[in-house]
Amino acid sequence: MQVKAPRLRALSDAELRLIEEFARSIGVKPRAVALNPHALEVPGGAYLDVFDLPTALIRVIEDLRFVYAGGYYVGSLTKSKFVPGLPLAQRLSRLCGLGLRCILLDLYGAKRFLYGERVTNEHVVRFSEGLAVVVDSQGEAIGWGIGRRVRLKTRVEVRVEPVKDLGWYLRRGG
Amino acid sequence: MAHWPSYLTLTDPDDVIFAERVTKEAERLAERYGYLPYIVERYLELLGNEAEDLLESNELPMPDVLRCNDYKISCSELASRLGEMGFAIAKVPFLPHGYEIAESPISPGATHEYLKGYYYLQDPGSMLVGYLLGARPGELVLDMAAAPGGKASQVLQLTRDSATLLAVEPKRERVKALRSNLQRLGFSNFVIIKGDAMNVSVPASPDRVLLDAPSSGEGIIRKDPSRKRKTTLRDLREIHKRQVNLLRRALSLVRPGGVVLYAACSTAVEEGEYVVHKSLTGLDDVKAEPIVEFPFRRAFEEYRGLRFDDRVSACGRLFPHVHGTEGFFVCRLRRLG
Repeated sequence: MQVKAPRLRALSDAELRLIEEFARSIGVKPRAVALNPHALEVPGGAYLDVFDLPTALIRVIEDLRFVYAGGYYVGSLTKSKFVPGLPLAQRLSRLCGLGLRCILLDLYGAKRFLYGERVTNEHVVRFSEGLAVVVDSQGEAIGWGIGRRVRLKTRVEVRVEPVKDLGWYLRRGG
Repeated sequence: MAHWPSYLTLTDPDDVIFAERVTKEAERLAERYGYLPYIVERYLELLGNEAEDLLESNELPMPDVLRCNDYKISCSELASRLGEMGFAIAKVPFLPHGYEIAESPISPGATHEYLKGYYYLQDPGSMLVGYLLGARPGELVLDMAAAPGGKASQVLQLTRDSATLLAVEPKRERVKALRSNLQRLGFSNFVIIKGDAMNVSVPASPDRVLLDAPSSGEGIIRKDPSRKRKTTLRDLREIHKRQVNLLRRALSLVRPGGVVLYAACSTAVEEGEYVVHKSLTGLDDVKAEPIVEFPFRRAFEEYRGLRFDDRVSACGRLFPHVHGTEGFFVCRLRRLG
């Protein structure tokens, strides 16, 4: 009996459109996200991990089965949206100031963010509303966050909610 | 010296190599240092007076060593950042990217620089083995037991992410760690295959195969003292069989002219010389290349009366009491084209 095994495949047009929508929403071109996006298809899987494959790898993966990961991980696709991954924040961060939506935190803010905690007001050096790449005071990506302005009784508070942060590498245990 | 029966009268050399025989001296030292006696017996048979030096060295904890990931940051910048944070680090002379961590204000695995993938924590012997593979840009490299990804990521770092790496790992938890590490360190030219390297099919014959074989871990007693008593002689025999099968598989997969680097993090001859000896039996189209990049100890040429294949003498060993590293066996084999 043929075993159905995880494999990498090129994205469908509908899947590519989800990546295009995401790229536009953060202010970059789709090719900045991935040049050769491929999905890891796992039988029965609820979502698809998406990897950008270097050209040399495309030649290799065709006949490979039981693939667990391959290429540069850029994020995952559900039926309705693309969810960016941590390596993509690092790949895109050089575009901060060149159209990419970015949030800059000070040292204390970055520490809180890397613990998966919300960062507010004085620790947010440069703010952007919506999903954005979050960078520390060295201009280096530390994750993805959502910027929000919240109107309180006497003031407007700026908040950065972590979506994915590099501290995940520790919290997941290695 | 122990006297072992002649092989001419035996049908299976394993019965001698894996025979449990313990002298009073081995028993005494095993009790003092907390080892299974057969391990100490082997040290005495192979190393003589040096055996106790090895046992003493294994009492010293391993220092933390990091491999600077110069694919993402310059090593001088990393050293400067860690210095500002209060780390005391010193370059390891024989490791181009290695730094020993003498003092650390926080866990070296919890800094922002670690999370950003600017370094990997890797024992020095393991890092040295990574250099010996000698992978070049554009080559297809197979890592048959890749998790957690120390040497796999080193292959990609040393080739600036331009070797194509097939990283194989059968265990679910370990494959997760492998992926996490390769991603954190910023690499892209790899495929992780979850499976047993004995059965995995490869798209083309690899130029290089790295087999850092699953082992008893007897070489990392400095890091994990439980290894002194963890592996029974019966377990060791099973580990040895698997290592032989894996090395034979590696030699069957590599392209003619290609290199297989066999390594085992162990001071056991049963996981080193005897594995290579058995695996090369009947294979005339494989040569062992002497390792000249580092002053390894020469591999043992015989054990318990069994003289190993001549090619085994080109292999090398790292010892804690000689090199200050973990214990390792390394052998670089080239399939003739």
